This record gives sequence, C-alpha cells and structure tokens, in this order.
Amino acid sequence: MNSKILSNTIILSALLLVTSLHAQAADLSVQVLDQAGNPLSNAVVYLETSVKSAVKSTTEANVDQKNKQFSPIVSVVQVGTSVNFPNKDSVRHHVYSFSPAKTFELKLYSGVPAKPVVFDKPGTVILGCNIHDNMLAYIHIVDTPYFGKTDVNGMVKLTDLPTGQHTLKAWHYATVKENFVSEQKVTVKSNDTVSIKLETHN
Amino acid sequence: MQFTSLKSRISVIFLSLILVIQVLSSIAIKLSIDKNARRSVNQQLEVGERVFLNLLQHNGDSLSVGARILAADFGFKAAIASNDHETILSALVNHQSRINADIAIFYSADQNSLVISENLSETEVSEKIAEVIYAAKNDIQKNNFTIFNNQPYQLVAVPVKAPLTIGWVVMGFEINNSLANTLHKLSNLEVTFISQSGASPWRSTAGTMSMSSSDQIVKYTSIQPALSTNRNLELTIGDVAFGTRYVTIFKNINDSLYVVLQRSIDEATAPFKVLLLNLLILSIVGMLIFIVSILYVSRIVAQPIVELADTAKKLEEGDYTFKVDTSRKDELGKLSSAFSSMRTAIADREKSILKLAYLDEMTGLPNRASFMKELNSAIYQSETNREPLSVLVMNLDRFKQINNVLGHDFGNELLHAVSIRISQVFRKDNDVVARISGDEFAVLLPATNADVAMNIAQKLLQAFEKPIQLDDNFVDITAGIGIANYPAHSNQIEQLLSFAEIAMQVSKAKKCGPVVFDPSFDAGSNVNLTLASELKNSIQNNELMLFVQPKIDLKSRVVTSVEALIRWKHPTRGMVFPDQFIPFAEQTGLIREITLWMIAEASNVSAQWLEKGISIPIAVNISARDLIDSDFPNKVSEILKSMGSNTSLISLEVTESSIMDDPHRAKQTLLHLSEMGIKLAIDDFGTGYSSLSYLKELPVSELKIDKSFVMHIEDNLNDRIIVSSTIELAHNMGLHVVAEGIENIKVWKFLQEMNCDYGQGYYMSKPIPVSDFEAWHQQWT
Repeated sequence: MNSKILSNTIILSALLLVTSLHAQAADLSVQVLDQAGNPLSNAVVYLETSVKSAVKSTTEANVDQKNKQFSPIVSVVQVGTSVNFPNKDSVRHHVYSFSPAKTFELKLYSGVPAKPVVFDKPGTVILGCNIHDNMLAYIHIVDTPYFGKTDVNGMVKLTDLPTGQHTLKAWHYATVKENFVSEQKVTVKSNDTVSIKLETHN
Repeated sequence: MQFTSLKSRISVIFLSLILVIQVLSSIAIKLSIDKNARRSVNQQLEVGERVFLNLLQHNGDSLSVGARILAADFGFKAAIASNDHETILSALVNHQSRINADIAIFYSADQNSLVISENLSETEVSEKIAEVIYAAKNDIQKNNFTIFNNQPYQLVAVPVKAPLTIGWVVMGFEINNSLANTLHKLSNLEVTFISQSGASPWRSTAGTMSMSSSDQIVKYTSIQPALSTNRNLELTIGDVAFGTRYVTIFKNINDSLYVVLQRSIDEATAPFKVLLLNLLILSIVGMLIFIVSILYVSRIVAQPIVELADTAKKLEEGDYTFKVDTSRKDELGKLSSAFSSMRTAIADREKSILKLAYLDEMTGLPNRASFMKELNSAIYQSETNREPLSVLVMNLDRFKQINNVLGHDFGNELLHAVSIRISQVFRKDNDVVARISGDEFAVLLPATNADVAMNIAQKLLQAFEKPIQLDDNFVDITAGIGIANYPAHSNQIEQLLSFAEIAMQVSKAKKCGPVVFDPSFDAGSNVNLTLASELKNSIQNNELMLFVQPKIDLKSRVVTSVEALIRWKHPTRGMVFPDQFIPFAEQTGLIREITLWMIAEASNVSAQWLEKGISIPIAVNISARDLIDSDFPNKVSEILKSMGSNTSLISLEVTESSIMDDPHRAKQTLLHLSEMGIKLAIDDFGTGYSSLSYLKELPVSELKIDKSFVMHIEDNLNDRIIVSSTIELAHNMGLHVVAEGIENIKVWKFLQEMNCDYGQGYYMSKPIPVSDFEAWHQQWT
C-alpha cells in the first residue's frame, strides 16, 4: 500500500515539476479540524511537490523521555533524519518500534544512547517502551522538506513553498481510520490558508 | 365403643387428644420440613449459582493473568512483528501450560494472522474469535464464552500492545467435567452443562450426573418453549425430585450454554428425616409416659370411686364392718367421709329397725320373722354338721275365750307369763323361743331329733301343770304342741314350721299331748297353697258341687231335712273334700262367697225338688266370718228373694266355736236371721266351750251333737252320759237334738232310747250328689 502511494507521489511529482520552473517562494497556512470543527493539535501536515527538492529541512531530531513520557508525542521528520532518544528520567527505558517504517530497539539505557536512529523510510513509526507500557509516541517520516505540526489551535504554517499545484497531506494518530493520510491538491500562490478536516476518535 | 369405666373413659379421651395433637404436629412438622427443605434447596441453588459465577470469575482472572503475561512478553511481540508463526505457537503452548489452560489463540486482524494451540478448524475459530475479541474490546474484564467444535470454552481475550494493539491473545478453559466436579465439591450441587450450537439439538457437554440423568435434563430442556433462568423449579429425574436452577452462561444468536444446578430434595430432607424420626421416637416415648401418667391419674381419680362403689355394695349387702379411707383431703375424701358417716347412720338405723322387726314387744321374745331367720341359719348349720333339728310349736287352748272373758290386758299379761314359763324350760343358748302369733309360740331345738324333742315337749307341758297366777286369778293353761323335724319332714323353713303347726293342730284336736308331725296329717298340705289360689276361680268355673246328707227322724224314719255339704270337683285333682280347702277359705274370707253360693245353690235345688213334689228343707253351714258380717242376713234375704224360695225350706247351721269367736255379734246376726223366719241349728255341739245357758239366749231351734261323742256311744259310758244329758238338757230348753255320726243300727237304737229326735250318718247315707238323692229317697222309703 505504501508503495502504491509512493508511486502515485512520483507521478504527481513529475507533473508538478513542470510548473516549478517559474516557482517563487510562498507560504501556506493550514488549519486542521476534527469532524466537529474543533481544532486538532499534533496533526502532521506536509506538502509534497512534484519535483523532489534537494532541500533538507533538518537532519536531526530528539524524542526525549521525561517523566516516563515521550516528548514530543508526535514528531515529524524528513526521510534520513537521525533521531536521538535522550533519557531525562532517573529510571532506564527500553525504547522500541515494531513499525514496518523502522523497526528498532534501544535496550535499557539511561542518558543519551550512543547512536541516533536514522529513519530512512517514509511512514509512521510507533514508539513504545518495554518497561513502561503507557509510554507512546509517534514519529511520522515524510519524504518532503515542507512539513509541520499543528499547534493547539490546529494551525500550522508551511513556509518557503514553491508556488504551483502540489499535494497537501495530513496525518493524525487518532484518526478513526488507522494510519490514514488525507490528501488534497492545493495551488500554492501566496500566503493562502487551507483547512483540512480529519475524522478522529475523541 | 362403649366405655363403662370412668378410668378408661378418661384415659381414652386424653389419649385420643394427645394422639390428635401428635398427629397434627407431626403433619405440621412434616410440612414445615418439606417447606424448609425446599427453601434450603432453593437457597443452596442460589448460593450455587453465585459460587459458579465466582468460579468462572476466578477462572477468568487466571486466564486473564496468563494471557496478559504472554501479551506483554517482548519476545512474543517481536515474534508477532516478524510474523513468526512457529514462535508464536510455541509461546502460546508454553503459556497455556503455565496456567493449565485448555486453549490459547493468537489473532491479529491487521496481520491476518491466526495461531491456535489446539487442533481446531481455523474457519470456525476465526469466525467466533472475532466476536470474542469484539466483546473484549468493549469490556476487557468480561468473561467470554464460545463453543468450538461442540466444546464450550471460557475465554479471555487480551490485546497485544506494541504499544498500540497489534493482535490479541485469547486463552480459555474448557467447560468440562473437571469444572463440574469443582463446582460440585464447592457447592454440593449436581452440575450439568447443556449447550445448543446453531441448529443442532440440545446436548449435555459435561456434568456430575449420570448419562441417563443428563439425557433427561436435555430432554426436559428441549421441550421447554422458553427456558426460565434465575428461578428455581422442581424436576423429577428417575424417581428423585431435584430442585433445579438454570443459569445462563452465555447466549447469542447461534449458541447457548447453560449450567443446570440441581439438588436432590430427598437428600436435603434426609437430615430432617432423622430429626423427624427422633421427634417420632420422642413422641412415642412421650406418649408412653403420658399413657402411664394418665393411667396413674385416672387410677387416682377412679380407684377411690371404685372403692366407694365396693363400699356401697357392702352396704347393700348389710356389711357395716368395713373401714372407709377418709384420709384424702380432696373431693373424693369428702365423699368418703360422707360414705363413712352414712354407713354409721344406716347401721344404727338398721339396728333399731331390726330390733323392732325381730322382737315381739309384748313378751320380749323374738317374733316370727326373727324365728324364721334363726331357723334358716340353724338349718344351714345342721346341714353342715349333718345333725337333725326340731321345731316345736305350742298353741294355747282357749286363749280367745280367756281374752274375751277376762279382757285383752289380762290376755297380754298371761302371754307374758306364759313366755316366761316357756323360757324357763329352755336354758340352752341355742334354743330359740319365739312368739310367732297371738297365742302361738315356737321353739327351735338345734341338734335335736324328734324323740328328744318329744321329751322336751312333755317337759314343757309339765311346766304348765301348775296354774299361772295373775293378780288373784289362777289360770289353767293347756296347749297343743306339734313337732316337726329336719331333715325327716322337710328342709324348707316355712314348710317345717307349717308342719309343726299342723302337728300342733292334731295335738289340739286329739288333746293327746305333743304330736310329732306325720305326713299323713297333711296329705294335701303341699297342694294347699295352689288350691287356695284356684279356689277363687272355682265358683266362676262351676267347679263347686252341692252334696246332701239326709237327716232322719229316728222314730218315724222319715227324712225331715238334708244337710248341704260342699264338694270341689277339681279339674285335675278330682274330688276335693272341704277339710282341704275350707280352712283356707276361712282364712282368706273366701268362705263368705262360698256360703252365699251354697245358699243360692240350696235354694235352687229346693226349687227343683218342689217342682217334683219333694218338700224337704236344706240346711246350709255358715262360718264365723258370716256371723260377724252384719250384712249377712240381708244378703241371704236377697238370694232367697231372687230364687223365689221359701225361707222355711232353707235352714242354717252354725258351729259352736264360730259363735264363740265373737259371741255378741254372732248373737245379733243370728237374731236377725231368725227374725227372717230362718231356722237355726248349733253344729258340732260339745267341741266348743259354750255353756248351755248362753245358748239359751240364742234363737236356735236345734242342737247337733258332734260325731266324736256319738261314734263311741256303744262302748263309752262317758260319751253315753254326755249325749244323754245333752239331749235331756236341750229338750228342757225346747230344742230339737240331732245326733251326727250314726254308723250302725246299734247307735241308732241307743239314741232312740235317749229320745234323740233326729240322726245323721253313714248308716243312713253318706253325703251324696243331689242328683242321687231322689233314688236314695225312694229306696229309703
């Protein structure tokens, strides 16, 4: 399934590539709402362009463990990003993931593990701790430098976007349909605002 | 049933009462036991249900713990992530065996993965496991049940989280005999699991009951339109009634699983039955104690009454010697006291009554009743001792005349003096001297034969040879003495006495001193009593007959008159002579009727004779009783009138002694009769004590000399002198003289010489029936 999406993306990307020549930078504000119209925070919003950008947004990210909780709960990173899992608690943690996007485990440790984990495939990785069943965090890996995470108002601003028609995607861990990614075509001109609706569990 | 005794009545009433109470209470207890047993069974069933649910909860918890441990295992999660079926299976088997579960399943919808520890159809399991998991998602704590391949299971589904749910671990126990046994051990109930899967019929999957019993439960279940659960009902399996409770384990569209909890009501009542038995034994023991005590009580109440009844019986028998127990203080004691005082009072009264009853007040001697009593016991004594006994009866001569002449007071004094004199003769304690009637005394001589009694009687007569002096009068006492002997004459007291009296009469008549009874004296004495009663009817029955004996003029041989004599033609005894019934007739007064009958009959005969030209007067004898009846002359007059008879043809004869009974009244009566024109004659002259001077005052025309003087006139000079002088005196007083008892021609001649006017006797004719008279008369003339 993921591979299907991937192939579609490639086709779309090819189409978008034509228009990107004339591209100029623009921003896009996106608000994510749930089915009741309430703002949805921690939603991952990202824009896939037809032409792969060489731009790397970040190469590193941190998912802390603090008070026996992951922080942040939701992270969004670009493919190839190394993520560190610094343990800021006095107890040790055993962080793992059985997600197909990245299966790994960091056996009992404290402090900062020696090596960061490189997420080299797009998808969702669900993080757990083998010691503490309640610890849960998501890392959404996207294959685009244009991504963001909504704030408490459900708002996120994607900046420096190439103008033109692109695919705007959104993901939230609590969608009714598990691991659902919403897609829509948007034409990025100048500082537009787009609203996305996601059906979530309460 | 009739209870004659108070004791049995009391006993029966109270025993019936206690029996009824016992039976009623037994029934009540039995009912209550049944009710209680059923209630207890119901409670046990309800408890059993709770225990069962608790057991399931407990099993569910075990399953849950086991499943959770497995679900949390990191290696297991890793195996799932890598979709490593073999590892998953081995982990399932491993954890299944840790908690002794019967099945373990891993299922993941996302991975489309199903791993089963047991050999079951994946299709069936995957269908049903989804439902189980769906239910578990909604309520993780809830026990899940399902049926795989007809085997019901209790299942617990636990999610495998990594950290989100990546699959489910399901662990389960079979609902089997082991569970049933466990429940049975905990609750003591019979347990049967029954299930229905899809369209297949009900079946029993496990249980503690026998196969056939489970089959019956299944059969019963399948005919129920709707199963009522959480309610107790009673189900009879085989012969045993079971309290039964259906408990739903689970029920969905396809499958149903119930547990049937049962408790034998008989078993539940068993301890009560022991109780009932004990109660019964207790009741019986109680009854026995009650019976004993009620018998005791009724005895206490009834016994004194019985004793008093016995006492009363003794009183009735005249025994006053007994003691009455008056020690009791209750009502019965009062009754006893009353009895006691009654006894004393009755005894005192009887004593005085006895004294009056058995004592002759005038002489102080025992009276007739007392004598009879003594005689009775003396005979009894003699019987025992086999010895004779004699009774002596003494009757004073002429006592009536003495009484009449010298007055009653004098008579009484005389009797008293006589009694003293008699008593002086008999000193022996055993001899009993009694005055048995006016001038009659009796002496009882125990152990005395007739000869000795004769000697004693002689001695008694000798004692009276010396006259008794009363004031200035000297009275010569003569008496007749009769002796009767037991057992020679009779063994009956009445008869013995009456024989002695008969002997005494003989003694008096013969004037020959004491006479010992001889059966010839009293040929008819045994029959006299019956005769007396039959005599009453003889007149109505026409059994009496008139005989006649002619009276002849001794000079002319002419029949001047006939004397009417009575005969009784008894229907069975034949001819009965007057001396056998006239004494009774005189005693009873019947003689008056007989006299009247005689007069009527004589008138009748006289009338008949007149028609035939025979004009001979008929003389009828009248008795002393007639003489004292002042109405007698009128009666005679009426009879004669009604017969149309002439008074000249009927004459009356009256004995000298009957006049002397009451000379004054006799004289009145005779005067009256004489005035009516009836001729009167004095009969049996010489036997009485009348004086000629007295006779002179009477209106009689004829004197009949008793045959005792006439019969021996040929040989006895004295008799000749008496007869001769009597004839002379009578003639001097203007009376005709008739001599009785002429038996031969010699006597006739003597009398003729003595100038006797008329004669009667066998020489001429014995008394003959009236019908024979004519023939005799013709032959005589």
